[in-house]
Amino acid sequence: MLFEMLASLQSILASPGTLALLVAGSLIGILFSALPGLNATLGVAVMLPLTFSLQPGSGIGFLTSIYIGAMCGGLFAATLLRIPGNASSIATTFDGYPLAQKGQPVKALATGVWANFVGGILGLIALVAFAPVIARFALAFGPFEMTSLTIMATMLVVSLAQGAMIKGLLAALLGMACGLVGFAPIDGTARYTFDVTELTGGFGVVPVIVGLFAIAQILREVHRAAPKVALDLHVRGAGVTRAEVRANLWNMFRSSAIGVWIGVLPGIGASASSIVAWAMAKRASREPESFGKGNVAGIWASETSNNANVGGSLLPLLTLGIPGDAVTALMIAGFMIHGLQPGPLLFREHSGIVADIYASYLVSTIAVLLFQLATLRIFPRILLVPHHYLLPVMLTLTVIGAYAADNQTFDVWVMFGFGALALVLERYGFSLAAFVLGFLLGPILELNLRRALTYEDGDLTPFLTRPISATMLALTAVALGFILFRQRRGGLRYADD
Amino acid sequence: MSARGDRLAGLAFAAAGAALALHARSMPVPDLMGDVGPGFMPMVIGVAMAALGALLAATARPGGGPEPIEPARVPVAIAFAALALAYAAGFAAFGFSWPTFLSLLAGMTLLGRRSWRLFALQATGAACFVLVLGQGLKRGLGIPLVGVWFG
Repeated sequence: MLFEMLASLQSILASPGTLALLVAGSLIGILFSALPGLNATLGVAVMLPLTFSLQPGSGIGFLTSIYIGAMCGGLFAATLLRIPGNASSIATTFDGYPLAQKGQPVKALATGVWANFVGGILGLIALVAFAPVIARFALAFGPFEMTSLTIMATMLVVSLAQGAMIKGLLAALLGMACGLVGFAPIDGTARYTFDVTELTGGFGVVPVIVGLFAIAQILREVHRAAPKVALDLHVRGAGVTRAEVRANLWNMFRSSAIGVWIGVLPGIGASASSIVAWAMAKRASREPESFGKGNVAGIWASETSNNANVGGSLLPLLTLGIPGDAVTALMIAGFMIHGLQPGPLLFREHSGIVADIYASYLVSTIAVLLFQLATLRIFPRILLVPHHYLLPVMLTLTVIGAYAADNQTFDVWVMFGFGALALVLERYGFSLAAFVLGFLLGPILELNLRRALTYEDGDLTPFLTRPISATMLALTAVALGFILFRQRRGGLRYADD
Repeated sequence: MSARGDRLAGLAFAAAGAALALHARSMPVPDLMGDVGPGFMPMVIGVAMAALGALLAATARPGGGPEPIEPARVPVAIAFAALALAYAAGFAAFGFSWPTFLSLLAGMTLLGRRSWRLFALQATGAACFVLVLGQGLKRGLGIPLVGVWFG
């Protein structure tokens, strides 16, 4: 497959039209993820009809390039404005925004740009090299394993609160409680909807995230009065040093592996992968207290993970025909437009198209890198815009973003509600990362737990007798036990997260 | 965070958890074999929240304390929050362009310096921004915004 991909790459480079199409797709993706509410799903949905007239390889490659551009584009708004353009860039706000506020936006963006590239390439390598193996292993993940995995991911982030672990748990539980609103999984019972029709589908992810991060930040900035930001726009070279790259090599591999793996598993998504990768980087760091205050390792972790997630989510789509998220579900439509069915037969009967997709992935990743490097010193100037212009514009963009996600004004009120909640939670020292992870993973946890218990007639023992599930639960227990042991010995301080 | 703040937060969580758990009791009990039903997860979350909230309230100890509030900026922050809510209400009632234009203008006037010349410049800038953004979102991206100028 590697040689076929290289041949396809050569033909793309020899065809200016195809190359321009892929570059355009990448830029459209970046545009669609720059604003909250516009995302990869919307970008692929809007552009899907255009692929009718294209060759199958070019058409699906074009959709892939939008997906990749969208995954990378959230970086700028997350870093400069603390507005996660898409859910996958939530964790980037944790360290990217503080670093930009310290006057080093180019440094923060350059780290994110290179992390995008590294994550994209490692995701592609995983896709090309290990697709059949990983896909087979992922098939062994039933509801028991998914339940254990969500518990492990949640506990990992909660444990980061260290001395304030109770607060981390409470934040995650509150997130899960917010995720309960709407129709329950399996039986469809309406819960906590209070006869409000708009609540039957639950709180939308976009208004919740934009409210938690952007609205809270806008109000905080209004209250704080305009700080004087001294921008360092003259970072030498590519913006990252060799020492930083060397120091973060393992971080990149680990975060990419997390991104690929979570991408492979259906329904979890890039947002969870980047938060988990950030949490793992913080846990492994010798200076965990610097995370959330502008540590570049946090940006490396988040951005490599969410870009590697693209490779992960394409993996079950191409090898098994199973979409891992909404974007890959739409991409199935892209295949069907051309009379193709993704799955094992695709590799045997249309290996050229698979090679075209891989080559498009590579070209788009490089196109995004070049575009972002070229604009690295332009976008940070947004921080020089006076607050009395910037904040009203940010307010407008967040309202439109919340509305555009589902085209309903109710979501705008939801966004403001969660903005107020975020102000209170942060003021009282509760972790927003734990809250978001609880909100995103709570419904997945409940669905899989109920499925598991229904399959086994209410029997809980398979959680401990199935090897993968038992391993994950054991790892969670060991990690928690270790943290509690260190706390008892006074190794950890009572710290804010 | 102060011990008092933690105690208050803990009590709030305990109350919310108890309410969640109590409400969960009213949910239907499933007749499927093994299924725990729609009330199980809210019950677990509610009980855990109530217990941990109580624990937080009981074990609260003094910490670093929150970011201090600047009293001079509080009225501006409250006015901006009210403006944001008014904008959302206007957006729901009248659509995109007019509420966005007015909120931009009001926001810039509230947060920045004030003069008639500046006001005229800001009004022109806000109108251009609203026009371009509205057309771009509606025609360019196909977002079904209502109340767009020349839409």
